[in-house]
Amino acid sequence: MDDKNVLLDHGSGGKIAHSMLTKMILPLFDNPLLAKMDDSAVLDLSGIRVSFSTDSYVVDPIFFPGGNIGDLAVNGTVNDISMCGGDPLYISVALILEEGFAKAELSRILESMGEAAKRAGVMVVTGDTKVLPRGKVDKIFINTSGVGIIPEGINLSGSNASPGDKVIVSGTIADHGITILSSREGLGISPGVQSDSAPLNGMVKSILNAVPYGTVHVLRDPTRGGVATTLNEIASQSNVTIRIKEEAIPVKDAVRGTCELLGFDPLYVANEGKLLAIVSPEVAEDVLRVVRSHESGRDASVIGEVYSIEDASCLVSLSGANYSKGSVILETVIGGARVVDMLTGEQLPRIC
Amino acid sequence: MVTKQIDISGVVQGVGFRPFLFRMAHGHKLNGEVFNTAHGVTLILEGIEKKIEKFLKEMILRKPPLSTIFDIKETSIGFSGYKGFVITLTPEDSEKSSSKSALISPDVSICSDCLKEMNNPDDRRFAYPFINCTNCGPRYTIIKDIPYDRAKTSMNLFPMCQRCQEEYDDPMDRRFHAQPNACHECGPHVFFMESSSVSKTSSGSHGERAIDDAAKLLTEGKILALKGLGGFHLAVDALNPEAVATLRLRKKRPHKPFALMVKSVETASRLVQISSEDKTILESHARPILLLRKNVVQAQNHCYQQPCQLQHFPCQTQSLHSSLDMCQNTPFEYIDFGQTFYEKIISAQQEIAPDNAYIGIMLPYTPLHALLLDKSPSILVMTSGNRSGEPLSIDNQDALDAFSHIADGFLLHNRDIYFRADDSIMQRQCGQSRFIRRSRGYAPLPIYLKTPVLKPVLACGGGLKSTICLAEGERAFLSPHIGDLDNEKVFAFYRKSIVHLKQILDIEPEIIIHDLHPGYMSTKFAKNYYEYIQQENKVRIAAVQHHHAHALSCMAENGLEGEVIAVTLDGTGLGTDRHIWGGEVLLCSRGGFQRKAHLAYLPMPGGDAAVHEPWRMAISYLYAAFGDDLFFLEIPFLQKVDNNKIKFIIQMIKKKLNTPLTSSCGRLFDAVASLLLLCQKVSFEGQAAMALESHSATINEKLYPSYPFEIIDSNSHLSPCSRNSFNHGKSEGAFQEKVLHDNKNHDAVANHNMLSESFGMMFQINTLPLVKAIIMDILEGKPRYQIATRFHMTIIDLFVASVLRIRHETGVNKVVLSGGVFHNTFILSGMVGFLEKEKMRVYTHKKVPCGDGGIALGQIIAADALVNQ
Ligand SMILES: [Fe+3]
Ligand SMILES: [Mg+2]
Ligand SMILES: [Zn+2]
Ligand SMILES: [Zn+2]
Repeated sequence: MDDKNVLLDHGSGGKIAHSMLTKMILPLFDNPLLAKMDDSAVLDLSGIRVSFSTDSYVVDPIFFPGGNIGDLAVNGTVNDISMCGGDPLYISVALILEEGFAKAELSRILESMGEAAKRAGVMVVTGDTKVLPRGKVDKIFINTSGVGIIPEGINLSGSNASPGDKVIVSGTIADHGITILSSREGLGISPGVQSDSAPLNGMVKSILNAVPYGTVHVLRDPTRGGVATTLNEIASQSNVTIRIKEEAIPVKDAVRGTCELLGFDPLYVANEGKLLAIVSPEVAEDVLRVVRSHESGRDASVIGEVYSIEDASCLVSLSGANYSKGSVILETVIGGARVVDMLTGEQLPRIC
Repeated sequence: MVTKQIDISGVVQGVGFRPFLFRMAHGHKLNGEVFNTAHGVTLILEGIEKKIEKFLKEMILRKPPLSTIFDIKETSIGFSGYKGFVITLTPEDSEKSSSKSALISPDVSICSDCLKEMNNPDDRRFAYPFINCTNCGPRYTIIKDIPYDRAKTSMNLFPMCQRCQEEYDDPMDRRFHAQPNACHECGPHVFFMESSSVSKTSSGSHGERAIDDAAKLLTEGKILALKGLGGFHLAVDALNPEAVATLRLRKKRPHKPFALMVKSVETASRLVQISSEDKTILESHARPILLLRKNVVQAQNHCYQQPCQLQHFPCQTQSLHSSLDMCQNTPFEYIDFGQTFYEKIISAQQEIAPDNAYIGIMLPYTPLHALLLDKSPSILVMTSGNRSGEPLSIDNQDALDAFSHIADGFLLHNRDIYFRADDSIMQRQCGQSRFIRRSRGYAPLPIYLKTPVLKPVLACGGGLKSTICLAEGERAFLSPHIGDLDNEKVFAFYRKSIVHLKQILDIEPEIIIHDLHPGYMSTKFAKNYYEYIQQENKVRIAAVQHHHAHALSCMAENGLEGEVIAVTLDGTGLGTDRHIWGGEVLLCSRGGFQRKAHLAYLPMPGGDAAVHEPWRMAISYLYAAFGDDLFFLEIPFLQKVDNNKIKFIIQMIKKKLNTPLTSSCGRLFDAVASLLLLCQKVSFEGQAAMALESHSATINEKLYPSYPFEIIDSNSHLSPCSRNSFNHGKSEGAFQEKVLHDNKNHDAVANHNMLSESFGMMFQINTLPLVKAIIMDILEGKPRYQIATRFHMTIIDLFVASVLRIRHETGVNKVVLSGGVFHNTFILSGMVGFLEKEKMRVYTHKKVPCGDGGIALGQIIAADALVNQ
């Protein structure tokens, strides 16, 4: 493997991306806010807590069933702000365009950005446009950043998961990733399958309003790397074992079928309008009910539970050398328990 | 009169060696003493020199059955004037520090003396299920720590009664220092519970009644969970196909063959063919499961157009076909047996080992087994008691939980199994017994290395069927079978095994070796472990390529040094070019390897999914051979697989969507098994290849000539090839020193080395002509067994041809055969036969499995090259 240059894997959200982040980036900008490694930074602006996030969108194709790169860019940043409990208010939009890109397509994208902003209740307050010569950029890239105010008493972080907590997913997984892949590769998409791209700030707000302060521990949107990667991040941030049950994880039949044919595990496929909530057991039912009352949360389900590393299994530490700080275990339909790790680069076949 | 000190090393502790010497000294009227040392046993004899010589000769001849003498050193010492002969107790008998190189014995099946006592109504241990002596009984599975001493075993809960203690203390008794010594009065006991009563407080039956109840349950065709030596078993009457089918259903194990425990060798011959050599293995004190050919096999000439499953009636029966020996010219001998008897046998055989020519057989190895089989049906399915994919259950409560929905009753006991050991599985191939799984009865005995390792090494093994290996000096300790590490509990057991072995062997590794694959749990473990202990700064870590490790494993057990040609054929191993290897011919030494030849790359649609579903590889081969024209082929396979799926898979191949490239030989077997409608989906490793082997006839070049194939050298010169054409001709093309791949590959993680790899001339083996020819034969309606046989012949031929080319280029005349494909008797005996005919020195696996269970040993001997790097 080439270790001198950046590889595609470094942007995959998997283990290799994680190691570049921790080994190369974090040390340089060394500060406690960045070190938390949550979806957005939580800033203290003279007593007001603000969540601040940025993301770049390079999706191919730019139009796909269920949305386009424009609404995706707005929803993505809205969601990242929301996952820290922030109520998103303002966002910025930076466009990087390829010379010759059709104006008609650009305006379709901008229109849907406007609609998405309206739907999420945020204002686009600043922006920038750059055009590069043909071939230097693929049609259009979009960067969005945003801020939101975190209500008092809200403290959400990937490091808050604690033993006994329930893990809730807000709906069917892998819809977005499979839609994008199918439309990019012309694989044909089954009816009813489309990207789940949607703003989640409304859902987050009603969750936080419905249950007592401090009972919602973690919110995360499982985007790149899917549910498996996000749960692994949480498990290692919180130093816990997360056990999930395969049979409880909602996946649309058509999506599952496509995943099976492709040899993909839906747990690793990206989502854009789903959240994972890790909450105290006593509020799990309430949270589930609230989530289900939202349009994009109808298929929500409790998929697992958090355990402390010691009692999660018969783990034996080897003079302290436990295999990892936190881990995710999948209890499969056929009755085995499988370690669900972060992806190590491309999915290389392993079985004999 | 002389005085001699004789130092004996090997497995000489805990096996009755001192009492044996004591009795011999008395018999020979020699004076002196004997005591345990850190390295084994030291014997001092005083007497006439000739008498001592005679003594030593007899000692070697008549040593206790469980002992292995590795070395005898004889020195003359000063006269002491011993009066009589004594066993001297030394600190070595009680202190941990000393036992560093005294070996721990594996568990041993019940000996004939104990069996006699157990069956004698007048003996005080009549029908006692835990009878044992110095020559038999549990060892490895009950040992918590060293030295091997009752207090450090799970027998510590059972203080000996006075009579047992007297036996234990008496050097003339055959139970002198037998650590698990016990009797009805003081030892562990058995009890039986029906599943329905488990949750209730009623305690079921005890002792002899318990065994009666368990036997009755089995006779009724019900399923028994039974606590054995190294773990639990699930048992059921093997000749009751319905009962066996129920077990399959409840255990969620649709196809994988079940092992049987039979009362005697004679009983087994109702189902399988047994030679006297087989009998010797079955009756050895390790009591492995031995794979034996079914004595009645369905006719193999029904063709692929018929349904996938073998039929349940015998058209013709194949018999007296003991092994696929080279010399055998006729494919079958047909013998007409009465219908009904064989119908019954065949339906039982089919349920026990579907689509398989072999059945695994073992004899009772604990007193409890013997007592049970006296009363129960005489042929029992005896399959490992575990939840699907999990390690063997060893704990009563765990078993009660795990099998509450599988077993109808439980035969339990109160002696704890401290460390699990699966049954070992062996097969006799080419006149040699070989391991499929090396575990109970063999591990943790070491494999002796020709060149000692410079520093202690931990080899972390592979991913599936894993074992680990700890080595120090000349001894490499390969762990018992651990399992597939993706399972959480297996992975926990993996770590526990490392801790335990480090402890009982007292080895602290300074080098850690792992596979090149970053996704194996063993690799992740190795890296984490290294990260944890590297502060000490003397520990090093390195990766070894999978097939290099296979090759080294075969070199290690055969004591080979220098360069060899290695044919390594298996399912999956990550290559240095990031592609999936598995049909490889390497030029290799301990320090590195050159990849000289491999099966040409083909897409593997869906990655791991292609391993579970052989039809994907069939499509990959068809598409490579015929392109989009494949849809015009009128072969049954294409009617069987959903057209939309086929189109989807072709899209994946065209767009390179999750279709890694592979040169795997196992995948080629999969593709052919699928095209012959033998297997479209597998539920256990090797299923497709086994089905293909069991549908083949015998090795015969005239009857079953190989199909065509091509060898493409580094200058892209095509040479349509066979073994013979090469042998007589000159080499084609210029053998250029050319690096085909830009992959001086180093693991990304800092401080990780990988053994160097260089490329000389390399060539690829194009198997598409083979696949095309098979399709032609299918179109012509040729019988399936014929195609399967010719396919096997081709695999042999193309790798033999490759080896001969490499010998021609390099002059290297030694060849090692390794990788899971060599479990296939046809391939192994064919390769060995043809290569030996070409005057090659051929080396195969006899001490460790050729599959991934053996690669940890290979990783060990790569370590020194890394230290010297
Ligand atoms: Fe292998
Ligand atoms: Mg983001
Ligand atoms: Zn005995
Ligand atoms: Zn006793």
